[in-house]
Amino acid sequence: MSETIKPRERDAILQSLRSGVVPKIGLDHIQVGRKAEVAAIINDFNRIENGGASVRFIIGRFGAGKSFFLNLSRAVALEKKFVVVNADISVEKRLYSNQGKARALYAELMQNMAIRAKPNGGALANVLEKFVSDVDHNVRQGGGADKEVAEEIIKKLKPLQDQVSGYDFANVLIKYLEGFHQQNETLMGNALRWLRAEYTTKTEAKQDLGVRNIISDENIYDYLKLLASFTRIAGYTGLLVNIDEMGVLSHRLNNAIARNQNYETILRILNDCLQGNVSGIGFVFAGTDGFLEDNRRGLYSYEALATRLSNQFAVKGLKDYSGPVISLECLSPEDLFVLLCNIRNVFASGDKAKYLVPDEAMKEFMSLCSKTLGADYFKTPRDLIKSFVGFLSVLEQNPSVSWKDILCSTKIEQSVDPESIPGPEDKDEGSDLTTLKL
Amino acid sequence: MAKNGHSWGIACVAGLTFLALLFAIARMWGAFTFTIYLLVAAIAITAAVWRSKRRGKNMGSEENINFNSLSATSPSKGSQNIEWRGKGTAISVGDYVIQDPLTYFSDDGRVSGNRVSQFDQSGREASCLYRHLAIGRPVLQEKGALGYWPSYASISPDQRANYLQWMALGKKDDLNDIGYAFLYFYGLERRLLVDNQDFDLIIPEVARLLSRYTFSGSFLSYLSSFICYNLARMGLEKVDQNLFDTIFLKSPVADSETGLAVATAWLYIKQIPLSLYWATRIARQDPRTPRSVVTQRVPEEFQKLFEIKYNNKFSDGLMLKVSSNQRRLDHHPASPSLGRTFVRGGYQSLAEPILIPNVLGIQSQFNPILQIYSECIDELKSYSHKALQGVDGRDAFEALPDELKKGTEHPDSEIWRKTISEHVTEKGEVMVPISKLAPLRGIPERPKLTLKQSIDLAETAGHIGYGLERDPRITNFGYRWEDIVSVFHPQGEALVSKNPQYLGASIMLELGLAVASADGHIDDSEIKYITDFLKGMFMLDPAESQRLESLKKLLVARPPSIAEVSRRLKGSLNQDQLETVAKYLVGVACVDGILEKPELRLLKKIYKSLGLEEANLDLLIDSIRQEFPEPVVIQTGKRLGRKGEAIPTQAEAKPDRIFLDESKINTILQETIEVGIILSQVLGTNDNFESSEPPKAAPENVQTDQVAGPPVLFRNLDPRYSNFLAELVTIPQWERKQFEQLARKFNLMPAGAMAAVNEWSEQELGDFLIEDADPLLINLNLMGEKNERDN
Repeated sequence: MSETIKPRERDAILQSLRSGVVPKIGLDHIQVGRKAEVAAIINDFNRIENGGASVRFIIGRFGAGKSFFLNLSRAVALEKKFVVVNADISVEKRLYSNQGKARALYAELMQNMAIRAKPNGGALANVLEKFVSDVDHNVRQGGGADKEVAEEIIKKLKPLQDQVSGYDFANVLIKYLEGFHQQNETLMGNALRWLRAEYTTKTEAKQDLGVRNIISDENIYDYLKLLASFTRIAGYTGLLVNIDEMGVLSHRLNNAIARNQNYETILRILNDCLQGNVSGIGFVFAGTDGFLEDNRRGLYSYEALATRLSNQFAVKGLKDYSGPVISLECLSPEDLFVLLCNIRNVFASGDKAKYLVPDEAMKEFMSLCSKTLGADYFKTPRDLIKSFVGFLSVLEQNPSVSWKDILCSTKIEQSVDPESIPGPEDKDEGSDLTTLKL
Repeated sequence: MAKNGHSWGIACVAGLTFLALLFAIARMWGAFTFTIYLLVAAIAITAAVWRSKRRGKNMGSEENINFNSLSATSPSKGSQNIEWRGKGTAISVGDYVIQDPLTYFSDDGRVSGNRVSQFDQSGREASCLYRHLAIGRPVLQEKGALGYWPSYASISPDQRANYLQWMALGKKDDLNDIGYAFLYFYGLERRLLVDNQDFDLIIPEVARLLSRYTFSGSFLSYLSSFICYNLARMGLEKVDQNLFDTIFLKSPVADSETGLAVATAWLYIKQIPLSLYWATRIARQDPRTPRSVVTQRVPEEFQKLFEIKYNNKFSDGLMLKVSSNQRRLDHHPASPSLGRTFVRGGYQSLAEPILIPNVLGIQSQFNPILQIYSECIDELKSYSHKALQGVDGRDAFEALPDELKKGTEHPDSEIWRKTISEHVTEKGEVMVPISKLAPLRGIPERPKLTLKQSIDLAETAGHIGYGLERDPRITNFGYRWEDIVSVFHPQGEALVSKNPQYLGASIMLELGLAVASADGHIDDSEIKYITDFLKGMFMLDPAESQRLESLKKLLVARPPSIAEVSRRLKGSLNQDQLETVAKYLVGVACVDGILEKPELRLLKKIYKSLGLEEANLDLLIDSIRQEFPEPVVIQTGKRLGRKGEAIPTQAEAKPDRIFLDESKINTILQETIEVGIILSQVLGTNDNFESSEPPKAAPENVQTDQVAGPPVLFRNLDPRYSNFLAELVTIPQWERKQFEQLARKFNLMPAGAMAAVNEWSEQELGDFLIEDADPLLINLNLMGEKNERDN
């Protein structure tokens, strides 16, 4: 913890924590423990880098740090020159649908596409242009013209043509290049629209770009694979697909048929990744333990997935990182203490001399949380971290005030677990309770 | 005018001299015929000049009106040989004696001194009673026999007898021919326009004539014009309220556009707001007003509705505004003796135009009135239609607009009162089955009333003075035949509250009572809790509170179903509000100190149907449980054969402080450091620059010479971006368009170039050089820092 923290990272971390969300950058400064989990995910990235594929299910309870871990993996992937796409599953955005909802998920993924040089999303154009301009530069260095550039692009994308819609994909890239040379922003925009799955009819796509297919509900997984291959051709390590809030599929998707169709897509991904049918792509899915283990609605309700994902020996805290599931344990009070130390360190930009409070203050703060939020306060650290950041902010801006005085007046509010809302199939089975005197 | 006559005399002498000279020359030349022509011309000119001089003398006396003179007998100024007989006098003509004649008379037929008008060249005053003329016997003649522009001298002896008889009988009997009234009016007109006498006498008399003889449009037009013109001539500010009322309220003067203009001008001058009477008149006369048969078919209802609406909108009346352009008022005398006269080679009107304030010039100020008028027509169409069909009773009443219903007794009031009085409970509550009320409205028995029928029922109750709960106008659900409604006397009007606060309160009440009744009975304490909660949560006005109280009585009598209420709640409240509702319901269930299984089940059901987490319910019940000091008592379940679970030991009191395991912390720290190392290897965060110095300005020594190779500062950057970057860092921010042009200049794609530069700068400079904002920001400080380090 002795390294200096860049102001950009410091601000981003503190701003995110203050609002109760996981920061997108500088995660290594606040990471606590999870050594094995981090090692596992880095191992996955190495596999992808070497032409393999991976799939991971990050499972944990509310507040266990799934989103944090997902963002951490994203940050690591970006540093390793991956192209990362991420999205949250919702009822309107899922892996399988026939009402445009899968296309909506794909569009969301494309919208959030990030690369190292553009970590906040919207990097689709950058990825395309990097590839196209590299080809263009190389061809022109050799004395080629527009025609040769187009030929070279097709040649480079030849491997994609073995895959579904690879030819259309290459054509769209050429249209993008044409648009650039003709300074035709409409054409460039249309090409991007196609790649972002914003075309809803083939007729329109044919008119605008001369291609016969569009990205639709049925083929989003095929296009993700195509995109993964393309990213490698474009010089990136591969494609990482991060999908959060998978619990929505199990607990908000009430139609069992729709749920199972989504699970079938997951099964297809799992099979492809584990059997080596795809390369250059990694999937990280994050969800609650209910999403995985619920025998009626979770992944375990789908027999084929249950057999692939479960490990009957990984119980009572024993871990198995070789399988696709990473179970995140909730933080312990000690973990939390270290986390607070890290946040204090971020506040001081890594300079110990600038620490705003001593260790004792953090223990006092945790005591206060214990009183306010209950004994399990450390299991859902969001509220506590928000309050702690607020506490340190006040101290930073009012150096004349003692931390004890501020702590006395600090109020910690508890948020409600938004997950695991019962579906309509849940019935009141009734407990054995007949009457409870209050 | 005397001076004017003198100059005419000189001109006359000069003209005659000139003619004499021409005559002498013609005689000299022997042109006899020409000489004759000249002589005739000389005579005509002399006669015309003489007449003009006479007229000039008459005009000079018309400039002022004598308002106070009530001369009973006086000669006319325009004619030396006719005499005026006014009020309090009598005149006998032939066998007829006329009291208060208000007309001219003459004992001979001399015409000297009278004016010659365009319409009557005889020189006689048309209205003058020439007593030397023969008088016949009154006869009945066909209409129009008197002819246009009649005069006493020119009509037949029998017609004179008709006229004199009418005069002698007080000028009020029916007339077969309006010409007789015109004949009389000519005299009044002359008296005021020529003699300028008896204003206070003549104007009311003309107004009386107008009111009495209304069948002739021509008569109405001339007399109205005469009154308006003379009022304006007198000065509107001098017209008092009595005279105004006499003229405008008791005669049809205001029916004419001119009358309306003068009346509104008077209101404006007197600063009197526009009353309902005048608003109606304005609306009726405005050409923009829609014409409808409604106003004629149901005039009373129309007027009443208009009155209500007008008073609601303009409780103090509408203050008038006036146009900057004054209104010109003309009057063309009706009398043939006073028609346009020949003056200076042309005919000229006797009455000069007068300007008055032009209120009707600003039509926009009357738009609200027209809107009210239109609304009245629209709202009365249904009633008018019923009236046409001869429908009366309940249907006719219900076709009336609400405003009119308020002041009218409903035809079914009595039977409703009787029915309701038969359903008063011992507690004084009124619970009436729909099966009893629906027949009163003529609705035959059916399982469920339509929404329209239900609303009709509630509205009828409202018209009679009752409020119903539930009210389909609020719930949007029709009654079932077996439903019961709670009837109450609303304070004031039976308002149907669409206030969200009330709707929320009613649903909460329903939910609360559903929960409270889950154990089979509703305690008073539960009702009190619900009532207190609703009072604290919703700000209801007295009418809404009364309606809610009535609903409460109904719901206590017939506890509601939870499923329907939950569905409605979920559709209209957000998550937070649902949580609050849920907390309230738990409170309701627990307030009696016992949470029974049916209540718990119902709560769970509600939580589920509201889409809330059941875990929160448990937490909430836990928190309530902890408020009671007594130990938890768990009753035995019914399945006695089943092995129970051990009750956990009581948890120890929570310590004030928490204790952390230092060894654990050290382990975690160690692990964290290891993870940090792993991540650092990947994320590359060990490249400490240790730079705490303030940011430097942009580098001045950036090399941009392409021949010299890539600038030192851009080491490790793909050479094709070097020159682009060199130019990029010359200014701190770029508009996106400019940036794209710059990239194109170096044959680069903008987004690709940005990605390449940022990737390089992240690695080499520790952060992104280009911030992708709008405009794009160039982090020149990074370059400055690198420059420093390299130096």
